[in-house]
Amino acid sequence: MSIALAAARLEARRLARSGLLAGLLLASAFFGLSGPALALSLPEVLAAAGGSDQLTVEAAPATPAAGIALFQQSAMQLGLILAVVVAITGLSWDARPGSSVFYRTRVSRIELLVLPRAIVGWIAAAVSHALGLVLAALLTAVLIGPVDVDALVRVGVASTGYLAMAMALGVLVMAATRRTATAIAVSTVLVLILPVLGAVDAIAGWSPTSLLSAPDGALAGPMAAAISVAVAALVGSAALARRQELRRDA
Amino acid sequence: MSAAVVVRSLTRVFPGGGGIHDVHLAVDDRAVTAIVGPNGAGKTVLLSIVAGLARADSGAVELGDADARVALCPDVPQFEPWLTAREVVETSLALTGVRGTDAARDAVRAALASCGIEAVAERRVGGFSRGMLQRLGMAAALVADPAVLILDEPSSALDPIGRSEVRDLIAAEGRRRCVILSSHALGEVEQVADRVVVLDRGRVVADGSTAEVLGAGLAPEWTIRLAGPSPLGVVPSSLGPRQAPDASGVVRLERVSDEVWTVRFESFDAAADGLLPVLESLRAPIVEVTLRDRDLDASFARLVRERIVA
Repeated sequence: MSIALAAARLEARRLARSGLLAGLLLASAFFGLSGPALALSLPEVLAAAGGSDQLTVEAAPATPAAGIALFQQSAMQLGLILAVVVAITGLSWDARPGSSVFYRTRVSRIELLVLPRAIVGWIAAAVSHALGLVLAALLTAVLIGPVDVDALVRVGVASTGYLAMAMALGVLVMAATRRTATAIAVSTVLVLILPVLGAVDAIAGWSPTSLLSAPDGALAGPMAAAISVAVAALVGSAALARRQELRRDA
Repeated sequence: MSAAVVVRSLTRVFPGGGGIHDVHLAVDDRAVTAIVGPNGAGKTVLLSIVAGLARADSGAVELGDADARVALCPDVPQFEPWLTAREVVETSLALTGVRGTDAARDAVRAALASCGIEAVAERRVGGFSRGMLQRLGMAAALVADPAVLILDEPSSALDPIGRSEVRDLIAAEGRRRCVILSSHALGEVEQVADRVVVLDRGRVVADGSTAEVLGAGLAPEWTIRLAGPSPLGVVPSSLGPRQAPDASGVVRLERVSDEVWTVRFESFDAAADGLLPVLESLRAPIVEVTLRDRDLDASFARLVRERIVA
């Protein structure tokens, strides 16, 4: 077994046994079921909440696009934070001197450990998201109406690209800080702030955050940007890990 | 004996003042070399640099074989808690690039058995005691067949039987590879180490065979226990306390009680010639003659004390 495969297997075991994979799958499944259900019941919910003699709140009837959009909203906020936590904790072995010694004295090149673990985490998050998306599509088709398959594929591809970027940034923050709690806090703020970039017209066409907000627009630019950022972040993480010494303050 | 690790003029100084200064060392292959020293002496810094986990400000570490594998077992090994002991050892081997062959499986089994954790091989390590983690750390290191095995306080959390087993294991491994041992349990170091290096405040203050370090700077002193009072009664002036040794090398003969006397010589060479005449001069049946302070604890304390005085 090659070193990279051994590292990938290790990460797969971590995700399976620590409950993180189950958490990802459950969260995605919940979002996939709740999105279309919420879209369907939104007119009734709003009518019940906002109705008075002076004010009448009306929601348009549920559409298949709304069912997918509500899933995507949850999956790319709470689900994204969970995915970034998965990526960050994939590097938590380096935050503890005892395990850092173990891994750092085993592998000749630290990137052989860092990169496969990050990639396995991303695959798990992408598969979970895809599962949620499929559930959302099925429920939408049953409750609301047929879903545009092309649009569904675009949402899946765009989300997968954005997940890769956000998780790679989480790995980079963790590699730089080597403190799990700090990395989660910084990355969460980053993930929540990044979508603001998509609102800046000048860069919106290329901003990776456009992957979240404009699934109908051109994907190539934002996707290329997201992949570039992800690759740069992973290369930077490996370089940082290679330069670092054993933590003396842990 | 060839050197497995050569340390040349190694210096690493931390902002707080700790670290190591101009350390020179040649560590023999197929031998156990112990690095001892008080807390903050720089042992961990030195071992981390040798293991490639930290950089030196200056100087170099050269391995006998440039591709030699160096394994370090920290005093508190940590592993991902959801792995079983067997998986930890398998992972250790797999990450060195060894494929999952029958030979690899045998190596894993042998490493677990040699460290006494075969019975808990299928248990997840999250519930392991510190002593079991120390054994697992050694198994994970040994399975990769390192040319240089660095053990930092390997038995600090073990029970007496465990310490004895680990002592035997270290001695056996010392016949196969270069073992560098850092420990505060100097009694154990004395039993397994072929060579002792004493570090203090980041500098090597003694380096030699265990026997040499044990005797370094020691003015040997024996306690003589008699079966009854010596007719000598009082210390003769020719053997009593004095500034300089007399012709026989005796620097002090002292009566502690009727049956207990102490005699001190300038050196072991002087004692070789002078001890028997002193015993004869006491003219009483002898119960026992015991050399005092000839253990590594005393030698270590003496070396460090001398350095503080200097």
